[in-house]
Amino acid sequence: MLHILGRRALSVGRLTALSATMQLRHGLLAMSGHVTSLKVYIGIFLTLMFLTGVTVAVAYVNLGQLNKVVALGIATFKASLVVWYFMHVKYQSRLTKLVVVSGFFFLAILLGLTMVDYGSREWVNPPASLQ
Amino acid sequence: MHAHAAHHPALQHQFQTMSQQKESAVLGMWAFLLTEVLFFGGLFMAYMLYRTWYHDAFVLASTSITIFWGLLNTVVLIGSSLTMALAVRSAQINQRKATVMWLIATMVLGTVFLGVKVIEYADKFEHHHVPGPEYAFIEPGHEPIFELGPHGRELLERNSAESLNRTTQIFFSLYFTMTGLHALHMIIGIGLMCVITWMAWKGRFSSEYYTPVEMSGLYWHFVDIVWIFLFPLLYLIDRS
Repeated sequence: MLHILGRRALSVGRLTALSATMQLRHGLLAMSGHVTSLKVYIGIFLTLMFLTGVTVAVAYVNLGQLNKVVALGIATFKASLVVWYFMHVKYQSRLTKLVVVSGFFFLAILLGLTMVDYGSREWVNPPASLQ
Repeated sequence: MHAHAAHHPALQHQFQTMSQQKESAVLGMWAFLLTEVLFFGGLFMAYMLYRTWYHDAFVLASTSITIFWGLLNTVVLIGSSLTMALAVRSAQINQRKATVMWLIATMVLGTVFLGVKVIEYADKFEHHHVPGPEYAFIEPGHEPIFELGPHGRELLERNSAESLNRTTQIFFSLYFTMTGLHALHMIIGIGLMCVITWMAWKGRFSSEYYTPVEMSGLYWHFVDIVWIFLFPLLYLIDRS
């Protein structure tokens, strides 16, 4: 009887050790992360080169206010490709994605609201008592 | 067998698994990079505002900069982002020598970028395009030393040389501040990579642990992104 109990205790111990090893191995395997294929990296690089060419060409065409919009649009798209593929945000947790997006959201507030402030300062004439 | 006995040597005691440790590192690195985004963001804000206020001066000053060097540097820097991505990839798949090789390639391209920047800065000093007492953008009654398109010539003619010599200094102040801080980041990046390359050479990284390679990659790609915006904003405002 004692003998059987001892064996059972041993096998439970073994199982616990085995599950710990498996958990560990799972953790290690997850660690290696997503390995992006060479094809994707080179494809992204070529796209970035192409867009660089486009942005230089557009500078020689007078589009008025649109020049600014096109140049910033292309640069933002290029930056997004770098963030998404080269910086692996595509393969990160939702938490990391949220943090990244929130950072650029605050940049948009910095740029947007300051420009709105300066842009609208001449719209109002303050009352004489404040001048 | 105790589970702790099999822990990866790089696993810090406050983490349970390597993937948890890596996720914390990635999140922390992004928190740092976002402070950098806002740091450069302030300068981009200043740029946007002054570009709106002194539109003609910004167009003309931007046109005086040679596109060739900026374009070459864009190709070099985006190329270095590719080699950096390949360095991380090599570490992920246990290719020690390839990791070292791609890291060295990234540092070489980074150094080429800085070399081109030196040529450009020297050119600015030579032509008195550095803000300060020696500054001279247009000599009254003389042709500008750079090529102008029909639209650029229109802008030149509707502004006095005297006012352009004042207002274009704002553009060049921002040019030197922004490209200077960007170059400083690249110098730090290259220094960082020297250490990482040495660690990679010593065989510290594997598919199970390559976080330092990935983190310096994030930093390097961030510096690349700053340049992706600087190039069109400083070199390509309007060449028509």
